[in-house]
Amino acid sequence: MGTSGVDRAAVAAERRYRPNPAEVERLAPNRDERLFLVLSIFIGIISGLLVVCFRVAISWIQVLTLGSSPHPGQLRLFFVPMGVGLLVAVLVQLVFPGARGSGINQTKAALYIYNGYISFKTVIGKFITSALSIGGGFSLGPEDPSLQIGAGVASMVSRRLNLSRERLRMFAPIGAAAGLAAAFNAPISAILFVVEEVIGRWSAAVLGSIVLSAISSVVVARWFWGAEPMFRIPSVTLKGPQELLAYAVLGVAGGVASLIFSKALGYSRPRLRQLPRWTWYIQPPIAGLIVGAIAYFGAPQVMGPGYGVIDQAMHGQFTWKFLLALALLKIVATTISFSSGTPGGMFAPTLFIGAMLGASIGTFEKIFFPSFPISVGSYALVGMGVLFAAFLRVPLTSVFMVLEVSGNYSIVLPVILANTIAYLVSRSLQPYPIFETFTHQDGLDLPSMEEQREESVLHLEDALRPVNVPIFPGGATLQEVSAQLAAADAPVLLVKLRDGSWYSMSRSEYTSMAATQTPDTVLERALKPDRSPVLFPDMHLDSAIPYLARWPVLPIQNRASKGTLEGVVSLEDVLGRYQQQ
Amino acid sequence: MSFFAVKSPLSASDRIQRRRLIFSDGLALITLFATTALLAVLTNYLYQSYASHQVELANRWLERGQQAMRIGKPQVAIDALSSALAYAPGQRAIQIQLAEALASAGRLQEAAVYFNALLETQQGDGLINLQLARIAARQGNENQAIEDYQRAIYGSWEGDGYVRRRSVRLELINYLIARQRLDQARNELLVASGNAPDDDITVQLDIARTMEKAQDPSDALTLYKKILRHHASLREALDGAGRTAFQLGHYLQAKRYLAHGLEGPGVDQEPPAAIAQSRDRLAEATRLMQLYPSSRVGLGERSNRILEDRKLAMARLAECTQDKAAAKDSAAAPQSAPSSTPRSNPLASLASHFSRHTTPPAQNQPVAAPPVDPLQALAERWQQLPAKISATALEKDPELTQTQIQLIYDTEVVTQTVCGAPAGDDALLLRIAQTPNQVEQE
Repeated sequence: MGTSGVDRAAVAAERRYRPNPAEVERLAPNRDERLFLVLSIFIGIISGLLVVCFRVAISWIQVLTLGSSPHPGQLRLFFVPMGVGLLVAVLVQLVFPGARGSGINQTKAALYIYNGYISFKTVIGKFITSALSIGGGFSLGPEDPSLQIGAGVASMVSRRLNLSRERLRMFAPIGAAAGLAAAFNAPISAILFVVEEVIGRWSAAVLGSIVLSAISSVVVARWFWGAEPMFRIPSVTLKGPQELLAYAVLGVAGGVASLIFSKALGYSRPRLRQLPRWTWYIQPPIAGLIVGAIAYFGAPQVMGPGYGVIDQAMHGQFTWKFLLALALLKIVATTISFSSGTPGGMFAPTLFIGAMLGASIGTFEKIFFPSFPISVGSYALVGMGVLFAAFLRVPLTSVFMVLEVSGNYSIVLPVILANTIAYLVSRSLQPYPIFETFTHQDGLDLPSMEEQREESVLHLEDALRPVNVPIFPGGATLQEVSAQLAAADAPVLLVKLRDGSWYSMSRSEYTSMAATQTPDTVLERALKPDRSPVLFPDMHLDSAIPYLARWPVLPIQNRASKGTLEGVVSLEDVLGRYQQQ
Repeated sequence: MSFFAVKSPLSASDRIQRRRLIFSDGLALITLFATTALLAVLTNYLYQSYASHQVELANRWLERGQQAMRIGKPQVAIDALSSALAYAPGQRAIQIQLAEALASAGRLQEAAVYFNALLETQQGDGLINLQLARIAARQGNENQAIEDYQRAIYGSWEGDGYVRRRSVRLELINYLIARQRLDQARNELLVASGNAPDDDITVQLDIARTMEKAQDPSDALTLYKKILRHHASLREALDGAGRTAFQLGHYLQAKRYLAHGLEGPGVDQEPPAAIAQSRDRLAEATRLMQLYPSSRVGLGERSNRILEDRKLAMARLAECTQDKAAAKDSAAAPQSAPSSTPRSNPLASLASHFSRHTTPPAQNQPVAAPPVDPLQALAERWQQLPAKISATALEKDPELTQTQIQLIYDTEVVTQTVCGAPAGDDALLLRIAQTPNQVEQE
């Protein structure tokens, strides 16, 4: 007993041992990097398990509250969402205030504002309140909360290991990718979404960990749900380019639908949030009552994420008019559900609306243009991608998402075409992506990934000027150089060394150097040992800035013929170019 | 230890701190592993309970859906089967039942789209194509229905595909018959007959009966005969063979089959109407054979039959001529009283009738060829024959016999054309006249 008591004390002491990150870096320089990869796998597994629990919880709550077969006319459809809304409102206002919203912006805020910190309470709150609201019939989806749950898991795990702030910050997107990958059973889409929407850039440092965590979580999810794609449609064979026209129509319709959806959310969300705080308790129940009414009076399909309904639509169970009605009702139900502050995601409703729209257009074209060999399933699938691209403004993710959830590569051409059209239509009609709109409404200033992607990056070639400074061979004597310099009256000179490298120096540097040497000294021997950096015209303009403190001008070389100059840049050139922009 | 590659030598206190760091990290990782394992166990428990409940719900709703279909409530079945499908997504059997329920509820458009979607996931599925064919048939889309039936026949079937294909083909044939596409139906019947197993009498009888419905008595008779080769006393086959032989004009055969069928065991168990029909047909065949101037009977008997047929034909011609004249008179001069010709002397009445109604053309007028009256032509042919012919004369003069027989047949055919279908012995004579060489065909 005594020994074990000592052991326990030692363990407790070890647990309390928390050196600062600088000390850790000194003691074990590669520790963080290696732990980063191992923890990514753990984060993936835990996120996957939690997402499975989350989905199971939603299904249980759905069956327990709405019954195993919700149909219009059941009174419980009318009242259950209202009751659940009240419970969720109380929980969100009094216990879990961080659980409000979809989870995407909260994860971005954790990354950019809170050094990757997401509290345990927020994770638990997100799990409980989102499961209740989605299971209780609100028109919301489980993917965005899964993303935040994953990010929260990553945050909790990484905090335990005393990692550097930079590392801690990067764990949030790693967990986000894991959560989303498990929710969608689609690792590539999750990785792309996190890169496109959360991080905003391809970073080799974090990409490996994101991939590891996403794959780990998907392995766990597939262990339970199976490896079957979420939706199965037959392979699509295009018999001619004219068939793509039909998909182009869908792209335009998707762009317009996303505009309606965005406008509705952008209008109602801030207005409901501006109402007195006590109304925040009744907004979710009222939203639940409206969603319940839609369900009670004929469209219970709008409740919850609606994946089953998407599958039914793909199998042509509905008429085109009903599909169109479902798309519109889902926009209404989701707008109300989300704007009321009920926790839950936007992904599933977006896919739902897109699928209904696609299936509706597909069914319509099949009836009225029978010469088109149309498969309603493929239209629904492309419709999902179209709205995803247009509404969430993640064009690359949308393409891969469709491919992954269907496991069908044959649809890639229609998807790319329709998604691109929808994305362009949406961009031209709606300047800000929806998550950026929410960010502004919440008073935050998170970076816009779409803007970042589209920023024009300046390169050295943009500031390049011709070589108008004297060039001396490294083998010249100081006497020769001095004579020529006196004639040229140049403030800067370049020296080409025998090994092909360059050395730039100011006239004053030359003067002070020459003063300490004999006139017959070879120039190359008199120079300091460092050399001007090797830079090429296609490199980013900011890559030159660190060197301009040391070198008066930077020689810019030709990539194909090393040593050959394309031109030079000075600090004035770089600043002048930035000022022009 | 591989986590901690040391680049620079550390002091003693650093080494202690490093060990503590390793221990701390190790402990954290072990804790993390234990937490993950615990979470995995919990998740597995939750998931298993969830999955079994899903299966239970799927079965419950499937059962309700099937029950609703059995009691003829397809709308209730649609809701139940949709719910079953929600808990067992991708279950093809439920999907098919749901589509069938949609079709039964009259939601043909939805059912068709649903079946088409199912077909896209499994091209060439026989059952789905059959359902699509039925829907197309109900929608009145004839060509589509036939195409879908064909696809169903040549599609893939689970289990006893041979039997299912034959059953679909027979369904297609019945559809073709209903749509009066008899040629196509006969072609399909020939295929069905060729594929039918020799030992399956029920199927062969079914095909033979369908051939009759498709107005193909010849092939039906062939099939009945084939069945009779193995089951000589099978009443259905005997009756069918008699019926089809009768239709084809093979009256000797028909008589034999029908008589055999009516003599066989189990006749009493047959529906009385069917038995009565067979008996009537047998009686007709028997009487017809008595009228038929068969070359197989003796010359005397043959001549007597010819003479009896002659009387019948002459009476029929006289009656027809009289009816026609009466109709013409009533149309031209309704006031004039109809002339009556005694039936006892038909040739005389024919002669007087044609002399009254034939007027010579006027002088100096172009002679237009008058339309040939078939009855008049017949009467002229009768007048060319002796007014009275004895059996002996017929026995001695085969040419006269042949001319007389041909005139009897022509009389029955022409009078049927002019005066409508005859009754009694005339009707039987007409049957003989239509296919005289088939009567005794085996």
